[in-house]
Amino acid sequence: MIQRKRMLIVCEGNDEGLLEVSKQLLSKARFLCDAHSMNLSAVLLNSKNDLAEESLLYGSEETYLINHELLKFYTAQAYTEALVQLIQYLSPSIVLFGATDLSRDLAACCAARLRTGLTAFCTELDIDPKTLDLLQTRPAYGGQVMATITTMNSSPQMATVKPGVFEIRKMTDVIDKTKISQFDPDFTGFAMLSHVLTITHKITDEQSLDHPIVIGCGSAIKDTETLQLIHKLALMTKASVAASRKAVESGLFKRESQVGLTGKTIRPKVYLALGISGAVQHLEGIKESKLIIAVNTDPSAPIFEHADYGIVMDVKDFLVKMISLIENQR
Amino acid sequence: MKMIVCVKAVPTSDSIKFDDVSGHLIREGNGSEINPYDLIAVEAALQLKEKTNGDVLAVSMGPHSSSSALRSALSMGVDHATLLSSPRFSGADVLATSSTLSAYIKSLPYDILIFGKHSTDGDTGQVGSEVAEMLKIPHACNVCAFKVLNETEIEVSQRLDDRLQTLTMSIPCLLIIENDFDYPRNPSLINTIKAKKAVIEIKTESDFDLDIAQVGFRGSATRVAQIFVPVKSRKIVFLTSDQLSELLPLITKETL
Repeated sequence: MIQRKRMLIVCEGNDEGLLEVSKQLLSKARFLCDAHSMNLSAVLLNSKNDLAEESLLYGSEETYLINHELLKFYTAQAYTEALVQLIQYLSPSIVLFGATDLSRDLAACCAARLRTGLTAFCTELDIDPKTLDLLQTRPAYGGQVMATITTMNSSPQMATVKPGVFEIRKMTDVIDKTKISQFDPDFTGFAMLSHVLTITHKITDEQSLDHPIVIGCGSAIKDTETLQLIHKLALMTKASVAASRKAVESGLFKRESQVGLTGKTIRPKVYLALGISGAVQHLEGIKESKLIIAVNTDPSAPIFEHADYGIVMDVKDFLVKMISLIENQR
Repeated sequence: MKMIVCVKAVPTSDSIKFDDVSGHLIREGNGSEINPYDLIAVEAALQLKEKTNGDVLAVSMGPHSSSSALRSALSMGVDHATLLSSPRFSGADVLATSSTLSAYIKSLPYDILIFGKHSTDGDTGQVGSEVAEMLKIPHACNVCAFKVLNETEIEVSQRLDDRLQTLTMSIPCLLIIENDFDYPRNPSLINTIKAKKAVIEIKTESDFDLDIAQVGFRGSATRVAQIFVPVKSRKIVFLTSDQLSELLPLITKETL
């Protein structure tokens, strides 16, 4: 009998349950495994039994729990040691992680230890039907092109997956508890070189850009009068104010308000780009906005290639007109 | 203390364009600059230098044109710079890049290695973690703050998703610096002049101990199978200044 190839999903959770990205990854992996006759396993480190049960609902056929005194807090050293042992025990052909801070670090360490490839931030995964190789697709060169990457001559094939790209599909409501097992890593001779002292949960961001409407300000905004109009419009529309890197460097905006590759990624319903030229780095942070409205005096500004609505107009004139339109509507 | 900061030269943001039809990369000129995130790593290295009365070496890997990134680091106040450059190193993925860097670093005395969070071109953010693993030294990613406790121990705060974790690590160790760690300092006039004149040491595979099968294209575990231009998902509608009222329902429906 030919041994079926195996996929291993490294899941993460918290007090509220499995992370969304873990559920997304399990759902996608289930679909791929069904289509290509592969087996699907999941693993959770330093986690409770109920999260392992949850993983079975989203498609895992068997879930391993790795719990140990040395895994109480995340250190790359101990987590890598434990996970590499499980990977060597299961010999999966594919190992997938959600692209969280923790899992991205852990995935890189495991790939280095196993001397295999690792593709970061995949936005699409597929299986080559002939070879059962993992086709790892991700944006390249600042998102201007997509690249499909394969792992050659090394095993397992590893990738981290960007949260939010796959749909969650619950497979069953029945939990077979016999599908959960403990995996005990062997830490004999292991010297722990880092020690976690404290953990603060729930980092709160004072400059939240998590509003349905975000107004983005570019380097074209230079005077305080325009800035005041922006804040007036923001107040009227309950919007938050973001800025491009250049605008932050001009000193008019706080660093926390920076959006783009070097700043935050936002997903508002409406992104109103004022005087933003549309550099690739900035576009990276706004591309998941539902609707993009761009205002710029330069009709050839790249932002217009990535917007739903475009207005070729001076930003200040736009603001004055828009504010009066809203006031008249009230 | 001896610090080594690894930096990368990336194409300037406006020097890459893609032919929408053929999907080919069009390089307009050869503009390259230091990866902006690495400026923050250099800043962290210089702060460690000031606190420990130490010395900072900047290391980069790439073609000879990458020396511009090292000169940027020198102009900020880094003491020395070395470029790992050889045709044998080219075409390297994360695994091969990390193998080359760690093989070279292994040949040097060091206390703290410093990396930026990720690069603007490859944007994988994995090399720092892989180098630490290959050198078998402790590391922390997303470092927002640190304090050298003594010659053998450092305390760092790292951001891990929704939590902030404080830990101590034994030295030697590796730090991957979070993007908002601090503003990178401006180059001073005197350092800029020094950087211009500085001789950048170039090392090839014959200058340090490494397994040639583990570097460059040959030592890479991943291959690009296909490159394609994504379909543009938005189609723009231009409005004149007299049509702005059409935007009203879009931007006020949440509040009115």
